[in-house]
Amino acid sequence: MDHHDCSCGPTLTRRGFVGLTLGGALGWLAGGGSARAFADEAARAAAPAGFGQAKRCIVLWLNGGPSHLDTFDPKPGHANAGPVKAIDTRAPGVQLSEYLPQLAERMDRVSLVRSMASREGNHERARYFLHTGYVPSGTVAHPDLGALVCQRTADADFDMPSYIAINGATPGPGILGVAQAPFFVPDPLKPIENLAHAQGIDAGRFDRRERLRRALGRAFEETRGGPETRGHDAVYGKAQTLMRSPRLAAFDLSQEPAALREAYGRGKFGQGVLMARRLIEAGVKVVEVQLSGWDTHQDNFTRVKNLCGQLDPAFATLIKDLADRDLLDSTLVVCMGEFGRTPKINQNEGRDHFARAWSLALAGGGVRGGRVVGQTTPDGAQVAERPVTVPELMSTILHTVGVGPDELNYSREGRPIYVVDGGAKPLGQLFA
Amino acid sequence: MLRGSSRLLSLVAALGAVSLAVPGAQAGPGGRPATGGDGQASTADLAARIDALMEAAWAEARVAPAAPASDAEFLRRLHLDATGVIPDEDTVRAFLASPAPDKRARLVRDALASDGFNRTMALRWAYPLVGRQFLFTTLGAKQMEQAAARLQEAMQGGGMSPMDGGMADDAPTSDGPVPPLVEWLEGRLRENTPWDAVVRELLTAEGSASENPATHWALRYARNGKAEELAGSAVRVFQGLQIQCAQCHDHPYTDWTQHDFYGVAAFFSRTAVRRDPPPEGSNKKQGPFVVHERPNRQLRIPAPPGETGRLALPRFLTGEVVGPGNGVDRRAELAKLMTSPANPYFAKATVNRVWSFFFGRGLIDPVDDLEAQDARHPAVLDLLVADFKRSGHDLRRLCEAILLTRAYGLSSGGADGEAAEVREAQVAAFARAPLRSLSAEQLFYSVLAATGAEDVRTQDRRQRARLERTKLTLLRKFVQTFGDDEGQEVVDEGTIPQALLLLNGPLTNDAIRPRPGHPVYDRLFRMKSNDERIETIYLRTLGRMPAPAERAVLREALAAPEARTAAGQAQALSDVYWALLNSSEFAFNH
Repeated sequence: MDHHDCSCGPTLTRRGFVGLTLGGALGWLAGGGSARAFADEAARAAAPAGFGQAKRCIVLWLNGGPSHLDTFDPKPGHANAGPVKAIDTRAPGVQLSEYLPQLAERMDRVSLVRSMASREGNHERARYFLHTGYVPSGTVAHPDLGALVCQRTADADFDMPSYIAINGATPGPGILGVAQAPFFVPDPLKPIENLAHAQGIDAGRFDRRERLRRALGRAFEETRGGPETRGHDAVYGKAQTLMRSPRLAAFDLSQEPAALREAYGRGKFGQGVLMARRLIEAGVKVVEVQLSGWDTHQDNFTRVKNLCGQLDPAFATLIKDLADRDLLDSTLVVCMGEFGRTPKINQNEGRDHFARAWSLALAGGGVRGGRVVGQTTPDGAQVAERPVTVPELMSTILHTVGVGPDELNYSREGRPIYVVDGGAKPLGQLFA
Repeated sequence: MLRGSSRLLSLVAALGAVSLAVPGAQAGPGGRPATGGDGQASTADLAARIDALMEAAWAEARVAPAAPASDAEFLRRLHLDATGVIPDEDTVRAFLASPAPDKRARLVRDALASDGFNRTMALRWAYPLVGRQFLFTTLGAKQMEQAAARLQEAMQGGGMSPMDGGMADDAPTSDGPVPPLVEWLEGRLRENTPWDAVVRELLTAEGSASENPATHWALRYARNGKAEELAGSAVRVFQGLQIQCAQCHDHPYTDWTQHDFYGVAAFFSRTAVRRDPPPEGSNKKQGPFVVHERPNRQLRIPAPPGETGRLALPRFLTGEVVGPGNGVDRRAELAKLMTSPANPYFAKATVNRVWSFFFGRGLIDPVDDLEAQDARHPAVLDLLVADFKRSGHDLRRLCEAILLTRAYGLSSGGADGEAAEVREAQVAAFARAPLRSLSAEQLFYSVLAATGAEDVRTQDRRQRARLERTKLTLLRKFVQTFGDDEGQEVVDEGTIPQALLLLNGPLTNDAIRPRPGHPVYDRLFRMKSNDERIETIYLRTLGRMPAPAERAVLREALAAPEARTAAGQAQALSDVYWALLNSSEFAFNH
């Protein structure tokens, strides 16, 4: 793919129509509903393996850009490897970095893509790209994958947020609006802020206050009621439903056995991943858990080893835990960052940004285990086989939750936007 | 004073003591004369001409305008729009009581002369320029923290004991840490610098980011190393055009081509950011960011793999080209072209955006896509654009004219039984005031103003300094809860975390917790009747008198047996406060 499609579709205006064919215009007027139905039908007709098998999704986001050579694509014996050795895994012929010993034991259930290729070597832009499948254009705020998945598959009446981001924010819902915004948990080791009643306020007092709020709100509603006030009411209603939800226990990690909490790792990341598992069990659709610090321009090997010390137990335990609970087949797990790092080690024992060739991992939700898509050259600097674009990755993720790449959303100005840039196809070999 | 309360409570409650930026309650005198020097029409005349044009358009479209806003409605709206915060109780009482026939026009002029106006306008421009995340959580925030730390040091130094009482004359005064770019814009607005000059300064700013905040716009995008992003932002905000689409291919539905886009981007091809070494003797690892021009740097139009893209040469949207030599300051040339009197976009984009500040929507909407739609009242737009140019791009005059129009002063309320479509048609034609969600900053400062947090006086200088930091933290959290908006126009829809913050969070709940020394409760307890108390809370929160039905509800609540004890009464009053701070009426500018 040389140029990215900006999806600068026409605006539904006089001027826009000039540029449209009649058929196109009629299709537009028919609206997104029929386009969606058509896409659904087409996707089902093709009936590709794994379509819609995932009912929920957990993203392990490695913020800063993890070094592919020191994690999922080791190059033992090459100068670029530095001190890092490779170890065999449960998947025949697939090796991992020695920093990931627990994950190695689960590789029969995890697959790798070792030939990711993009051009975005800037954190902010690449973060946006990997979350939305679009390069930032400034024109349209594309929804991130959590927002997309929830928009397409979540129950709007669910009494918890369907999309939760732990330890770090995501690019967010963009054109889909705040209804699809992630609920942010800044620190899984602390109680969720503002969910409990304020100091000195019990449930009875809160209810009295709420009754008063409603009584005093009547006059405004009568003279100025409309979509805006209804929206305000709806958000307040949802906030209070959440406060009272019996599922709030999902945030309470103390209900987990100590041994399991230990196995995930006691830090913010390990406990965040454990919380993610509790949340998806409670019915949450998408949880993203962030592990920061992968921007290892200096002192790469010490830092990556430490970071892997958090990633490895959490990722490996999550796979086992989901499998033990019979949830792995219906839960997609994606582990990725915004790009890889330079194979050549720099003068500060570090590695710099590298988007030309890098790796990520996928598991569950219909993704077969032990597969490897693509490979890099022996120095890790070029894709040697089957380059995979970010839109293809996006398409693969959406495929598992049953969303076809040709489905459309509309910007505020009425421009149609494919959920996947250019309608890229999913990576079939992960499912067959 | 604040003894016996939780630490957070005292921090929150006393925030305002540090001259919290609740601006504009006292407007300064006059401002610029309403009549310009060069025989310009007065702003009142200009507003009257707009009224005539709009009334004719309403008649033609058979849209009957809503009734004029009540005094209370107008006062609250104007305060929020022009100063960023709701009016205080005394201002409301005085305005409602004033019999002066021209009191609204005077209110407009006073508001525009206040510091709050400059702050509010600065924020309004800073959002689309760099986004809230940049302002409050990245570089802007770092500098804010440094500013707060410096302030703290300054306050603790000077040999004054923390408890020596009162503020000395030489004590640093501050509205609290403000993002540097906002502070810079505020200064330009205070001087009412012609807007074209301000824009040229932003577009051409060079040097250290810590010394020249005008560089922050360039820094925001050049840090990503993308001339394309600088071009996209400049054209979007200052020309009201969306040409970014043409970055990858010729724009399919407008006339812009990839050649056009890269022609603009080439003006920024040399703009770069470096990090200077730390100043000598500093214990920091790195010095400030510096925006500078790197000669000979070239930009190429993307080409398929294996091919070399064509060199992008500076060529503006209106066809002008500048030479390729290193002697040419490309950004300065672009700034001239973008703001030149011959430029067909600049004044139109500016007027349209300023209109949207006060109506929630531009005459052309969205405001950054002037080519997407026809103007709703094209004659009004033309009139304002012509006047804006004639005035030498006088932003304050433009605001004043808009705020004096009949359209701005219409009610948001409807008659009983009016169909929803009628209201929608009125709002679309600017024949009824829309409901607009308060921004994060408006809500934050309004909660503090309503609860009297800004009235608390603390004698403790060290505590005052610490509160500066706390205020920053709280504001930043508040802003984060609302999300970012750079590149998108501000839409502060409510979110669940935001509702939870107001329902259960410390900002509201600590500020309304009754306690001795609380400036509002102390007064409420001294009042003789519940009617008086109800009235005061209504004036402070909603800026109006309670309606008879509301008085009835509250009389009953305050007369309940459990509200008869002193503690019970205090609780009941705080419940009223809570109910009103969480109401739709409080959450919207209406």
